[in-house]
Amino acid sequence: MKQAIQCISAVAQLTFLDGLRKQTLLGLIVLALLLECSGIFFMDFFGHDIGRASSDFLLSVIWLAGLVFLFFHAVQTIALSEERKSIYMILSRPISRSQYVLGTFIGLASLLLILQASLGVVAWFSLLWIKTQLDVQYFAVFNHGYFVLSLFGLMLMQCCVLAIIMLFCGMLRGSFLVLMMSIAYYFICSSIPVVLEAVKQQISSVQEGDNFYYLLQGLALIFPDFSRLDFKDAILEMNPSLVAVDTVSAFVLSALYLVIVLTCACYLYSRRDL
Amino acid sequence: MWRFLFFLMFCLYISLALLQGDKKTLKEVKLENTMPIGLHQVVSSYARQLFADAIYIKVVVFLGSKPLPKVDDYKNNLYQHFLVIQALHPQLIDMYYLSESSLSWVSKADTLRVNELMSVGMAKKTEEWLLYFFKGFNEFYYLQEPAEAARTLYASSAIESTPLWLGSLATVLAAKGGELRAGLSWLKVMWGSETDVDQKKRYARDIVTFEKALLIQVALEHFKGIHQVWPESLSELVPDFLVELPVIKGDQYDLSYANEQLRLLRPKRK
Repeated sequence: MKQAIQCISAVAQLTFLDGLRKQTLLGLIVLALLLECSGIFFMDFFGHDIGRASSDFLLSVIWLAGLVFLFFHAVQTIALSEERKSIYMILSRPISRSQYVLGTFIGLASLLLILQASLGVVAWFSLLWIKTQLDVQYFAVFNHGYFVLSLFGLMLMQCCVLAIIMLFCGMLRGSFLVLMMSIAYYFICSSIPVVLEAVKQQISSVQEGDNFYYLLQGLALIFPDFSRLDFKDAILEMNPSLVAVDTVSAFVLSALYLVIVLTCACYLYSRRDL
Repeated sequence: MWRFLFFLMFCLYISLALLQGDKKTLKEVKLENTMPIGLHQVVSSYARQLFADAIYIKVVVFLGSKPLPKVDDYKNNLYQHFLVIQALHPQLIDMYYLSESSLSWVSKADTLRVNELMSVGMAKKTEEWLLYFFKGFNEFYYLQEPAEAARTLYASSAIESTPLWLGSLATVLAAKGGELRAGLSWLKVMWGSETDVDQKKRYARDIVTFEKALLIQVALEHFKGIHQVWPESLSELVPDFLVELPVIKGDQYDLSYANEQLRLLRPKRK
């Protein structure tokens, strides 16, 4: 067990340092800061909800930076390591394929965590500064706890996507194919709740729609609804209407989903030809 | 030679860009159709609020442009934009302000559409009394339904931050709309919960006025029950249904009986 942890942490360190070496984080942080600065010019359009618009913008920039990291750096790191055969160098050591998968995941997740944390701190200070500049009617409430909860939710969501990328890398060959499948997966996750809602409204009148509704519910298990981890609206609410049970269950479900997907990825990697 | 050509191209580019800027302002402004709500929800994903903010900015820029097209040309597209913004980000209060100012005055149908937006907003933003005020104002001013407006405004009194005058306005509109029982019960609730002594006295004075008017209302209903028609004037109620007509005339309310409805109206200012 101790040796397994050592192997996993070694691969994680390698992935982490490789990411730092490529200055991926630096590039994304600079991009995010530029976007955040440009957003200030648009706040003048809002007459009342300046606080809300600012918080939406800052958190969306963090989300976008995370997605760019996942779809470009993470996919490249995992898929290209196979294309360039650098994976053989790692696996020639006494490291199992599952340890390689977990180590790579932890390394990339650590980079993602540093990216989220640094952008989150910048966003937090930005919101505090904006709050001091405005009258209370324009920015009445800033729930720090819910702000941190939103960041955790975003981090967990992006870790799930990262796990899916690892799974697709185990299933497919080629970074471009993995990238396309990952993007398609993300869009399917966004679409299913919308279709479910539309079908739910029609289901009382159309009996045949029941099977389709159950099919969609089944698909929602494979393509989870990540909007359950979106707590942006609660940051500026006086009394946010969040139910503790729903929030905890969303986190627990997502964590379980992550573990299941990683387990499948480890299984695929251990069975496939490299 | 090449440097000279490059410099020439650069100057040409700058001058064309400046010319193009002037031409753009002559173009007619138009609010294009928006994508369906579902598509917005799918594409926007985690950034749905940001998408809503961007669509809001688009609408603000359009409404601020000159010359603005005729309102009938763009009102349907405008309403669709508001629906999309609400679907993506119902907590954005600026959207409600904008819909109230840009659409509610156009026609009764548009007022009803704005009220639908407000109703959804009231359900999502349970602590925002302003949405009740907007809806109530629309019902009173544009739709000419004071009783309905009174109910909407009174519903906002459950919100802690609602200003006191909103409840008072609700009773005034209830009286104007002939909803005397509702107005009286609201006044009694406000009197019971009020801590300010002067305000309590004002409520007590209004309660007396409403109770007098309610006596007449009961007598009218009694008259209708027996004669199957409403009386032509209040004097027909005396002496069979009322010993004497209560006097209601003063600074606060004037009694009015017209079109088979008893109302308490605010006296016209001299």
